[in-house]
Amino acid sequence: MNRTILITLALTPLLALTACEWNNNRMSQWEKDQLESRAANDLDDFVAEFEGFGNGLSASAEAREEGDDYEWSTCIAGYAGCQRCYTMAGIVGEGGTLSMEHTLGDEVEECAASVTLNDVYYGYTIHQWWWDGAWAPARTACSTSPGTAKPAPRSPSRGATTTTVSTTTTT
Amino acid sequence: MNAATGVTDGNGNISEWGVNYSYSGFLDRAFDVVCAKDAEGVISGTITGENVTCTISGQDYGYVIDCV
Repeated sequence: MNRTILITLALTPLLALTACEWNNNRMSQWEKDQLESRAANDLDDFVAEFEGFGNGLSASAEAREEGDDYEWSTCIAGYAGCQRCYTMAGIVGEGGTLSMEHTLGDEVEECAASVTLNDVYYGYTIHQWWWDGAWAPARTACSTSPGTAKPAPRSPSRGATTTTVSTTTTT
Repeated sequence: MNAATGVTDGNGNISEWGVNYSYSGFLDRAFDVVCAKDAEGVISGTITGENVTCTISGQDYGYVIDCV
Protein backbone atom coordinates (compact mmCIF):
# COMPACT_ATOMS: atom_id res chain seq x y z
CA MET A 1 0.00 0.00 0.00
CA ASN A 2 1.55 3.26 -1.02
CA ARG A 3 1.71 6.48 0.99
CA THR A 4 -1.12 8.22 -0.90
CA ILE A 5 -3.56 5.42 -0.18
CA LEU A 6 -2.50 5.32 3.47
CA ILE A 7 -3.02 9.05 3.89
CA THR A 8 -6.39 8.84 2.18
CA LEU A 9 -7.52 5.99 4.39
CA ALA A 10 -6.28 7.81 7.48
CA LEU A 11 -8.22 10.95 6.62
CA THR A 12 -11.45 9.23 5.61
CA PRO A 13 -12.99 9.10 9.11
CA LEU A 14 -12.13 12.75 9.66
CA LEU A 15 -13.68 13.72 6.33
CA ALA A 16 -16.77 11.72 7.12
CA LEU A 17 -17.05 13.30 10.57
CA THR A 18 -16.63 16.75 9.12
CA ALA A 19 -19.30 16.04 6.56
CA CYS A 20 -21.67 14.84 9.25
CA GLU A 21 -21.09 17.93 11.36
CA TRP A 22 -21.57 20.17 8.37
CA ASN A 23 -24.84 18.48 7.58
CA ASN A 24 -26.00 18.45 11.19
CA ASN A 25 -28.36 21.39 10.78
CA ARG A 26 -29.70 20.27 7.46
CA MET A 27 -32.82 18.19 7.42
CA SER A 28 -32.46 14.68 6.26
CA GLN A 29 -34.88 13.22 3.78
CA TRP A 30 -36.41 11.22 6.61
CA GLU A 31 -37.01 14.40 8.60
CA LYS A 32 -38.54 16.07 5.57
CA ASP A 33 -40.80 13.09 5.10
CA GLN A 34 -41.83 13.32 8.76
CA LEU A 35 -42.58 17.01 8.43
CA GLU A 36 -44.59 16.50 5.26
CA SER A 37 -46.53 13.66 6.82
CA ARG A 38 -47.32 15.47 10.02
CA ALA A 39 -48.29 18.69 8.28
CA ALA A 40 -50.58 16.75 5.94
CA ASN A 41 -52.23 14.98 8.88
CA ASP A 42 -52.72 18.26 10.71
CA LEU A 43 -54.19 19.95 7.68
CA ASP A 44 -56.54 17.02 7.13
CA ASP A 45 -57.69 17.31 10.74
CA PHE A 46 -57.99 21.01 10.40
CA VAL A 47 -60.17 20.81 7.29
CA ALA A 48 -62.34 18.17 8.98
CA GLU A 49 -62.79 20.51 11.92
CA PHE A 50 -63.90 23.30 9.68
CA GLU A 51 -66.25 21.07 7.78
CA GLY A 52 -67.74 19.98 11.08
CA PHE A 53 -68.52 23.53 11.99
CA GLY A 54 -70.03 24.34 8.62
CA ASN A 55 -73.61 23.23 9.13
CA GLY A 56 -73.89 24.68 12.57
CA LEU A 57 -72.52 28.00 11.51
CA SER A 58 -74.92 28.15 8.61
CA ALA A 59 -77.83 27.24 10.85
CA SER A 60 -76.95 29.98 13.27
CA ALA A 61 -76.72 32.47 10.46
CA GLU A 62 -80.27 31.85 9.32
CA ALA A 63 -83.01 34.16 10.54
CA ARG A 64 -81.87 35.17 13.94
CA GLU A 65 -84.55 36.55 16.17
CA GLU A 66 -84.14 37.77 19.70
CA GLY A 67 -84.77 34.94 22.13
CA ASP A 68 -84.08 32.22 19.60
CA ASP A 69 -82.16 29.23 20.88
CA TYR A 70 -79.55 27.49 18.85
CA GLU A 71 -77.97 24.17 19.45
CA TRP A 72 -76.33 21.60 17.30
CA SER A 73 -74.02 18.70 17.77
CA THR A 74 -71.64 16.94 15.52
CA CYS A 75 -68.98 14.27 15.82
CA ILE A 76 -65.88 13.99 13.72
CA ALA A 77 -63.50 11.10 13.46
CA GLY A 78 -60.26 12.53 14.67
CA TYR A 79 -56.64 11.72 15.02
CA ALA A 80 -55.56 8.19 15.92
CA GLY A 81 -59.11 6.92 16.09
CA CYS A 82 -60.26 9.52 18.56
CA GLN A 83 -63.70 10.86 17.85
CA ARG A 84 -64.42 14.44 18.64
CA CYS A 85 -67.93 15.55 19.42
CA TYR A 86 -69.11 19.10 19.77
CA THR A 87 -72.16 20.73 21.12
CA MET A 88 -72.73 24.37 20.50
CA ALA A 89 -75.64 26.02 22.19
CA GLY A 90 -76.69 29.61 22.52
CA ILE A 91 -79.36 32.21 22.48
CA VAL A 92 -79.88 35.40 20.55
CA GLY A 93 -79.96 38.34 22.87
CA GLU A 94 -80.79 41.98 22.59
CA GLY A 95 -79.42 43.62 19.49
CA GLY A 96 -78.98 40.31 17.74
CA THR A 97 -76.02 39.23 19.81
CA LEU A 98 -75.58 35.49 19.64
CA SER A 99 -73.84 34.05 22.69
CA MET A 100 -72.87 30.45 22.46
CA GLU A 101 -71.14 27.79 24.43
CA HIS A 102 -68.87 25.49 22.52
CA THR A 103 -68.40 22.21 24.30
CA LEU A 104 -65.89 19.59 23.28
CA GLY A 105 -67.15 16.18 24.24
CA ASP A 106 -64.13 14.07 23.54
CA GLU A 107 -63.97 10.78 25.36
CA VAL A 108 -60.53 9.44 26.09
CA GLU A 109 -61.88 5.90 26.29
CA GLU A 110 -62.23 5.89 22.53
CA CYS A 111 -58.47 6.06 22.18
CA ALA A 112 -55.58 3.97 23.40
CA ALA A 113 -54.77 4.16 27.10
CA SER A 114 -51.84 6.48 26.62
CA VAL A 115 -53.79 8.94 24.55
CA THR A 116 -54.43 12.41 25.78
CA LEU A 117 -57.13 14.45 24.20
CA ASN A 118 -57.08 16.09 20.85
CA ASP A 119 -57.06 19.72 19.87
CA VAL A 120 -58.64 22.31 22.08
CA TYR A 121 -60.19 25.19 20.31
CA TYR A 122 -60.73 28.34 22.24
CA GLY A 123 -61.68 31.94 21.86
CA TYR A 124 -63.78 31.65 18.75
CA THR A 125 -65.80 34.53 17.60
CA ILE A 126 -68.60 33.53 15.31
CA HIS A 127 -69.86 36.08 12.89
CA GLN A 128 -72.72 35.67 10.49
CA TRP A 129 -70.77 34.02 7.74
CA TRP A 130 -67.34 33.66 9.10
CA TRP A 131 -65.46 33.14 12.28
CA ASP A 132 -62.01 33.53 13.59
CA GLY A 133 -60.15 32.52 16.65
CA ALA A 134 -57.23 30.73 18.08
CA TRP A 135 -56.40 27.19 17.27
CA ALA A 136 -54.20 24.89 19.27
CA PRO A 137 -52.90 22.26 16.86
CA ALA A 138 -52.68 19.12 18.87
CA ARG A 139 -50.17 16.41 18.50
CA THR A 140 -50.35 14.53 21.71
CA ALA A 141 -49.61 11.07 22.92
CA CYS A 142 -51.97 9.97 20.15
CA SER A 143 -49.01 10.29 17.81
CA THR A 144 -47.74 7.12 16.25
CA SER A 145 -44.76 8.77 14.61
CA PRO A 146 -41.56 6.94 15.47
CA GLY A 147 -40.24 8.95 18.34
CA THR A 148 -40.43 12.34 16.74
CA ALA A 149 -43.65 14.04 17.67
CA LYS A 150 -43.73 16.20 20.75
CA PRO A 151 -46.82 17.88 22.14
CA ALA A 152 -47.46 21.22 20.55
CA PRO A 153 -48.25 24.23 22.73
CA ARG A 154 -51.87 24.03 23.71
CA SER A 155 -54.48 25.22 26.06
CA PRO A 156 -54.04 23.91 29.57
CA SER A 157 -57.59 22.63 29.44
CA ARG A 158 -58.14 18.95 28.96
CA GLY A 159 -61.18 16.82 28.62
CA ALA A 160 -64.57 18.35 28.06
CA THR A 161 -63.90 21.98 27.41
CA THR A 162 -66.37 24.77 27.25
CA THR A 163 -65.67 27.92 25.35
CA THR A 164 -67.97 30.86 25.21
CA VAL A 165 -68.23 32.64 21.92
CA SER A 166 -70.36 35.54 20.93
CA THR A 167 -71.16 37.65 17.95
CA THR A 168 -73.32 40.51 16.90
CA THR A 169 -75.45 40.03 13.83
CA THR A 170 -77.12 42.51 11.59
CA THR A 171 -80.43 40.71 11.22
CA MET B 1 -50.62 32.65 18.36
CA ASN B 2 -52.12 29.89 16.35
CA ALA B 3 -54.98 31.28 14.36
CA ALA B 4 -57.62 30.03 12.01
CA THR B 5 -60.20 31.81 9.92
CA GLY B 6 -63.04 30.48 7.84
CA VAL B 7 -65.86 31.53 5.58
CA THR B 8 -69.08 29.61 5.04
CA ASP B 9 -71.30 29.93 2.00
CA GLY B 10 -74.54 29.71 3.94
CA ASN B 11 -75.23 26.14 2.86
CA GLY B 12 -73.01 24.37 5.31
CA ASN B 13 -70.01 24.47 3.06
CA ILE B 14 -66.67 25.95 3.94
CA SER B 15 -65.84 28.13 1.01
CA GLU B 16 -62.59 29.57 2.30
CA TRP B 17 -60.27 28.89 5.17
CA GLY B 18 -56.89 29.90 6.41
CA VAL B 19 -54.57 28.71 9.11
CA ASN B 20 -51.41 30.04 10.63
CA TYR B 21 -49.66 28.07 13.33
CA SER B 22 -46.30 26.90 14.54
CA TYR B 23 -44.67 23.70 15.57
CA SER B 24 -42.28 24.07 18.43
CA GLY B 25 -39.93 21.22 19.12
CA PHE B 26 -41.08 18.90 16.39
CA LEU B 27 -37.93 17.22 15.10
CA ASP B 28 -36.17 19.48 17.60
CA ARG B 29 -36.88 22.45 15.41
CA ALA B 30 -39.47 25.12 14.92
CA PHE B 31 -41.70 25.44 11.90
CA ASP B 32 -44.26 27.99 10.84
CA VAL B 33 -47.20 26.84 8.77
CA VAL B 34 -49.31 29.21 6.72
CA CYS B 35 -51.95 27.72 4.47
CA ALA B 36 -55.22 28.81 2.95
CA LYS B 37 -57.93 27.76 0.56
CA ASP B 38 -59.51 30.52 -1.51
CA ALA B 39 -63.03 30.75 -2.86
CA GLU B 40 -62.02 28.86 -5.99
CA GLY B 41 -60.76 25.97 -3.92
CA VAL B 42 -57.11 26.65 -4.56
CA ILE B 43 -54.97 25.59 -1.62
CA SER B 44 -51.60 27.22 -1.19
CA GLY B 45 -49.20 27.65 1.64
CA THR B 46 -45.73 27.28 3.01
CA ILE B 47 -43.93 25.64 5.86
CA THR B 48 -40.78 27.43 6.86
CA GLY B 49 -38.22 26.50 9.41
CA GLU B 50 -34.56 26.03 10.05
CA ASN B 51 -32.92 24.90 6.83
CA VAL B 52 -36.14 23.84 5.20
CA THR B 53 -38.86 25.35 3.09
CA CYS B 54 -41.95 23.44 2.04
CA THR B 55 -44.66 24.38 -0.36
CA ILE B 56 -48.28 23.35 -0.03
CA SER B 57 -50.33 23.29 -3.18
CA GLY B 58 -53.57 21.71 -4.20
CA GLN B 59 -57.22 22.03 -5.01
CA ASP B 60 -60.29 21.55 -2.81
CA TYR B 61 -59.46 18.57 -0.59
CA GLY B 62 -56.35 17.37 -2.34
CA TYR B 63 -52.96 18.89 -1.78
CA VAL B 64 -49.30 18.08 -1.86
CA ILE B 65 -46.63 19.13 0.59
CA ASP B 66 -43.15 19.23 -0.81
CA CYS B 67 -40.14 20.04 1.35
CA VAL B 68 -36.75 20.94 -0.11
